Amino acid sequence: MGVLLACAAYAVYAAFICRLFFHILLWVRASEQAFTRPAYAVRIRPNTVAVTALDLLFLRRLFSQNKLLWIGSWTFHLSFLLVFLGHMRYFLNPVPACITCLQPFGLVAGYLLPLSLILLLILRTSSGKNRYVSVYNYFLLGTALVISLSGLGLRVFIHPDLAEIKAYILALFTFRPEALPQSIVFVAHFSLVLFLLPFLPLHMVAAPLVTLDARRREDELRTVMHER
Amino acid sequence: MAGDKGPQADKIAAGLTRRQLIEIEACSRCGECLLWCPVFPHDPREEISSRGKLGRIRKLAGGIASPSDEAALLDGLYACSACGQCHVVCPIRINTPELWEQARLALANSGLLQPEAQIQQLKTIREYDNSYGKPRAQRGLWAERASRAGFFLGPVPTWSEQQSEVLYFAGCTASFDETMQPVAVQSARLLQEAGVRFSILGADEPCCASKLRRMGDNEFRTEASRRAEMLAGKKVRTIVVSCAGCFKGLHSDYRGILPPSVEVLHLTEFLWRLIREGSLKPRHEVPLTVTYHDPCHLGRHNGIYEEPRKVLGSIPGLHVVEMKRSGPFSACCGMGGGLKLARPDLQKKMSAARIREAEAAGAEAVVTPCQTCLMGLSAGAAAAASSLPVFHLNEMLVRSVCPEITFDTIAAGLKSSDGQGGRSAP
Ligand code: SF4
Ligand code: SF4
Repeated sequence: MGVLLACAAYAVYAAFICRLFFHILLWVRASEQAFTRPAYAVRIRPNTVAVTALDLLFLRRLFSQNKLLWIGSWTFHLSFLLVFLGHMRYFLNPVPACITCLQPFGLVAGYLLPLSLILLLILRTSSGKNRYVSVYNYFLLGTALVISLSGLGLRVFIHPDLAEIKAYILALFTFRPEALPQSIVFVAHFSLVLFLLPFLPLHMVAAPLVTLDARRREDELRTVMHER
Repeated sequence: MAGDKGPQADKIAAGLTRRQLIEIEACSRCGECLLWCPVFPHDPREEISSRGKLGRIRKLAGGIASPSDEAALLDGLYACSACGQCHVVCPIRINTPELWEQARLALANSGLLQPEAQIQQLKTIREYDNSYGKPRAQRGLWAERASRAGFFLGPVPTWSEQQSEVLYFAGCTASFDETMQPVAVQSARLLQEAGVRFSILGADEPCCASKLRRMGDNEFRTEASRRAEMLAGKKVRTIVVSCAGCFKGLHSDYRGILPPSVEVLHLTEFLWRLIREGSLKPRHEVPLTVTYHDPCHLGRHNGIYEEPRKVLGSIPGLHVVEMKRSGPFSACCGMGGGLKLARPDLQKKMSAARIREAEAAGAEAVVTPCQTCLMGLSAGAAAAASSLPVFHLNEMLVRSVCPEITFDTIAAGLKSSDGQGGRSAP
């Protein structure tokens, strides 16, 4: 079982890296030329970068449109980031001070993550709009919810042997897979993460590029619009 | 590209720009676009939404699309007015309208057929240089006939008769569709009222060819370059356009083709400039409560929201109320992007829904500064069995500046004068 899970982990991570690499290759090789040549191309200004960063950090567009959804979405993204950073302590040895500092925040984020997912599910399904939520949405939100709840359960109720888990992960990362830790919940938690990884949208990588470009185009439009 | 992908996937991926390939991956599947899409309520299938289309383009470009994905994408791409609402609400700001146009082009190049009505329309534009299939010589007749009927303060010269810096570009609809010709007549008259020295191109006015771009035709760039060369050769400084579609064409699609020294203005921008300078003076009261419908190509696509409202605001007695969805969130009437050709049923439902929204706002009339929206909304009023009148913005200004040439007066006058016209396509 341990070997099987290790193989699955290697396959999933390799596939994820290949997927990223394939897309980056596709992007690099694609034509930059738009259908019509932008004559008034505006270079990316520091101000544009700052505005984009604020857009992304605070999901500003969603905020202006749907405050409740924004609360759910922003809390989800922030808590996901903190939980992810918190998990770094299982992958790194010695644990950097900055990761250690984040632990209290990570703990709070561990509670907020499933709550935000539940809120998102409620908001999405109560919108009354036919098929607003796709099957993919349910799958993604549902799996993420189970992962976050199992993670919270491990932390709060089950208290597995963290040293054993850390040793297992580090061994996995150094290509010396060891026997599985005892905790069934941990194994389920870890397997679900592996299961979800291939289905994750690549927007984490692509969205910042797109938002930056959209802001640059807005600058460009402003330069060609009249009396603005 | 990767060897396991079919030839179509290769063509589609190659047909999209780098930015667009990144955009198709940037979708977070949040579904916000779906809540706002004006088509979706009338055909609630995932492939109709931006999220659904992006998903299928992703599959096609990745070489994992099934025949049913291809069919669904075609369905979704052509059941779309490219209104840009999904771009405006997308938290990631994916430039969807441009993506749909480019995807249509890439799909056409990959051999996937577009709707027959669109193919015919494109053929007509290429053959006749207008979307109505009328002889080119008839293009300037609206001005000749209106002149004979006495609707102008003086002659409306063609550019060859008077080489002016300002050119009024009427567009196919206001030139050939006799029900819309009053828009061109009123535009020219308002320019005269303000003392603007301008000319028209008459029979030499080309179709802006923006529909080629909207519907994904390969020839757009060549056709646009030819027209831009002709316009640039005339050394005009300002082109005033009264159709939102032609404005998007000449102002935005011709970017990089038309020299930057040529200023392309929508009529409402120019009129507001004239009113502000004091050369055009709305005088008579127009005691009416109206609501303003933002054309997508003017508002969302080019950010012109204020000028038309300022023009309306300058008319004494006129009261403007906003609809629930206005400005960047204004619901599309369905006349753009070739939707009416591909899915006339949807267009009718969309414009009818917009009319109901206008009624709910408590307006006595709907005003729009685009003749194509005017046609669409009028059809929508009929479909909704509503008595709410739909006016071109010119009509409001004319009632305040020169009330003797109302839309109906001109329509009747042009009908009774000789010459040709008549309504056919789009
Ligand atoms: S462009 Fe408009 S009609 Fe097309 S998918 Fe987006 S919102 Fe819907
Ligand atoms: S709003 Fe944008 S990110 Fe969200 S589903 Fe639609 S296209 Fe994707």
